[in-house]
Amino acid sequence: MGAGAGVRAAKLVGAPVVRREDERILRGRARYLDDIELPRQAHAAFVRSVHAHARLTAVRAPETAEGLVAVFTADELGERVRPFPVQAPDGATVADAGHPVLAGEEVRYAGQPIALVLAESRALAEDAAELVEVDYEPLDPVVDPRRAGERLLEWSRSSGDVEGAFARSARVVRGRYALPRLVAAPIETRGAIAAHDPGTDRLTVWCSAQDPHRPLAQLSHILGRADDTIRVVVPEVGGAFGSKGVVGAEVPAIAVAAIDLGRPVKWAEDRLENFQAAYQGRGMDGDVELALDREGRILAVRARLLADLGAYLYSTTAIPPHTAAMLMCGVYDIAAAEVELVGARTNKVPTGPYRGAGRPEAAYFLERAVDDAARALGADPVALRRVNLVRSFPHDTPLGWTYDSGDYERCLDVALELSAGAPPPSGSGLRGTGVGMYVERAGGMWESAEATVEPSGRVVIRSSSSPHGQGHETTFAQIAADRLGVPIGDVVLRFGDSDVVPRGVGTFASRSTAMGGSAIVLALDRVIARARALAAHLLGADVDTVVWEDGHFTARGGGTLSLGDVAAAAYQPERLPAGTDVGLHASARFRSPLIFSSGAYAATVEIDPDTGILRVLHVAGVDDGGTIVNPLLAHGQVLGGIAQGLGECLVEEAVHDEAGQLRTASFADYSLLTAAEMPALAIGDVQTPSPYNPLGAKGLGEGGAIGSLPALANAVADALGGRHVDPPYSAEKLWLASREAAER
Amino acid sequence: MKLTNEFEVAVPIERTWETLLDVPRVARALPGATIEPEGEGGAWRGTMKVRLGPVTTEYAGTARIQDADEDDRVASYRVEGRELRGQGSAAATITTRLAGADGATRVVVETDMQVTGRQAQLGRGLMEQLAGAILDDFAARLEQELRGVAAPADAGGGALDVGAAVRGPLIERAALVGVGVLAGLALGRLVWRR
Repeated sequence: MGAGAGVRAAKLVGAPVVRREDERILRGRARYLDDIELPRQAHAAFVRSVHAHARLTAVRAPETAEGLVAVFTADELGERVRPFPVQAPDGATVADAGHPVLAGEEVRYAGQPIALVLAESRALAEDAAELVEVDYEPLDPVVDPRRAGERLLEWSRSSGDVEGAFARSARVVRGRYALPRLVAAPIETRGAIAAHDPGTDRLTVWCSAQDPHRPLAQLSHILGRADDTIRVVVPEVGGAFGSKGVVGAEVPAIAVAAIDLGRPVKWAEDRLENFQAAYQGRGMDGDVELALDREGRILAVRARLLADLGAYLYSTTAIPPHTAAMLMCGVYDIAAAEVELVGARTNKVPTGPYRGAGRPEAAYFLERAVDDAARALGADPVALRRVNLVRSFPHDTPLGWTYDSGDYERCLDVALELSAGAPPPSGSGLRGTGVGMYVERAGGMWESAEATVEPSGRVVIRSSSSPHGQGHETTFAQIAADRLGVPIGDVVLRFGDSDVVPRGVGTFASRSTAMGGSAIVLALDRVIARARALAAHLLGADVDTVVWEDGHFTARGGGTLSLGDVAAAAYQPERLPAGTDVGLHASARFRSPLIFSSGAYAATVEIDPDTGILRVLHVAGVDDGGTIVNPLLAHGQVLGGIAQGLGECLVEEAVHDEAGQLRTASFADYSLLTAAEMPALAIGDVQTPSPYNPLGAKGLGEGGAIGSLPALANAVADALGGRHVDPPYSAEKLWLASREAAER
Repeated sequence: MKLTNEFEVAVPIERTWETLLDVPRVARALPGATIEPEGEGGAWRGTMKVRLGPVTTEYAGTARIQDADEDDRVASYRVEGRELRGQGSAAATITTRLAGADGATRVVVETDMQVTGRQAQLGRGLMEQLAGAILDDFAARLEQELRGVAAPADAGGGALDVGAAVRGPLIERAALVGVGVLAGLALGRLVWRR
């Protein structure tokens, strides 16, 4: 039994309940994709392009190989698959360049799948894949997005008198800021198993994914199959960070193979494939101009963003750059804005959402520009921010989003208070401090839930929101236990199986608590309304006189029934009023406009001028994710996010050479932070409830990864006397920059 | 990936030039390479083995003279190969420039090489060191060939073992992996004992 079981109602939301799911995960009892073994399953390996750009002139499969089952190329798949569907953000033009399932006549990135090889084991499939002969005619690759001839995405928006603002401004500050591509690097790499039942023509796909219904919709489009002929089951998932919101091109390929062969097919990729072929994150440059008046008020912002989108569009490739563009006013009350976004086609694996997904980019571009402006004006960067903060809500930005709630200055104040805990200067290093603020788009669209009170009184909730490390099983149970006045141990959550959970949107963009949690609240309120009517009937009282409190229905005239009593009666037709459905359950769909979390971060760093080595001494992070359901898990999310933000600043970079080859295709070359590099952290929160949902929740799954980046970047620039350096902050870059700073 | 090697031989420029246009002789200087006796249509078929630690990669492909400018004494060769087992490939344009002085010849070898597949992803720096090691050896052997000293027989089963040349970074990596394995074993033991 998980900790927290037995804790009574009305105390759980806001309590630091430990994760109920951890016991099975830590004991090795969680079941991940590769733990699933189906009878007669064949194993998949992919032949992947070794060139970043080439024409394919021939693909020859071996006649025989040990354990070889079959080889599929684009020819074998034929008309049975279509390229990936592509989401076009509001107002954007996107190219007709959906990722193909297997490469046909051309390959556009090293790692692109060309042929699917099936054998009796993964090892045999890999051996057989080596025997496939591919003839290439190499073509010149485009590696630098600035030299790309083709655009996959265009978007622009201008609002307010931008030209006039620049004309009358006292000072214009310009800067160019760039973030490299990153890999999401989840502990569990991607994978799927496809099985087909020819009798019912039902395709079942177990998939390491963020949620079931987006993969289902993607497969339905690509395979041209009706939704109801596909079932997607998401088992335990070992991390995604955005990288499992769209199935890989490999998944529809194994689905066709499973149908053709009449055997289940498993694809569980190795780490090299994950580096080469899972979509990467970031890879964006921003040219930012701020027009300021004498008092330091930002009159207008103008920005040109360039995203290195890669070779094709996966379904969500266009979303992060659009989010970055829309957030280019940040936490500031700026009357005029003009933003232009270009997504360049390069010969690299496509990009897609990675923790923050456009928000860290926007915060980095804008917050670096604000610090550069403060330096140019000789102003204190914190004071300059205070002059410009949004202070009343709802706030309409000139770019077209409405911030629902927040207290940006309070976040800033708390972050500054917490940063007082930074260790004193060592005396020898170049010390720098920096703050970074952000606003995060969260929520939006809809989510669903179904709640059933079983005759035993236990509560089963089926949620379309789906966990992959966030702790839904705990936070959602807290919400439900509070609402129903039952012990948390009596609340059971069901996730991930499209045959079991109601259709929904999914888990991304820090939206689970606000959207999935609120759908549960609505469903439970309907359950309570039905139970109240039934309780009134059972108690012989008028429904308006029955009070619901602490898990019990009490009639004014006397008599009390627990929810469990009512549930038990609900399954006995003879005890029900005429015309009432048997059972006690309800479903709900919750819709909401976008909601906006926010935060302020402060970082303290020291650079060793002799070696260029950066030491992060202290990070203070303050997030306003609205009402917090579980501070323990919320802080865990923030801490993990900060670790990823620090990794981005210190060591992470996906490097492609001039031929388009990924030179960082293993953890020997692509570093992740370890506990040894983690600085002292101080995490705080400000809770301004969102008015748009019954919980008042907003979301903070990404805040740590968003806010830590600009704070650290500003601290590094401060240590270097204002010199701008883009991450990752290698010793070499910082040593050169510190020498230049010293020479000035 | 572009690399340049330079050396001087006490051989007159005319003789050096003739030798460099003799593909089998040049190929003999390529460590780990074998070449079929006769080329067809100017293309010579052959194989080359490269060993890096426990991994041997064998390439099969062709070598041809791409351009020979007798006036300027500049010759370029095109070498293309693909892995016999695996999806990778290697291709290089090797340009040699000769300058004669006092009966000796200064040889500048410029190599523009593209490697794909697993070998391309050995990691930052490692591929360059590997290619550098091959070319250093090639230049040294070419020099011996020009001097009329037969190149020594290949050690290691006819494969070029570049382990020695890249030992520094490899040992570093091996040490890291070793530490990881030890840590894993220690952890495994702790869990095992519970």
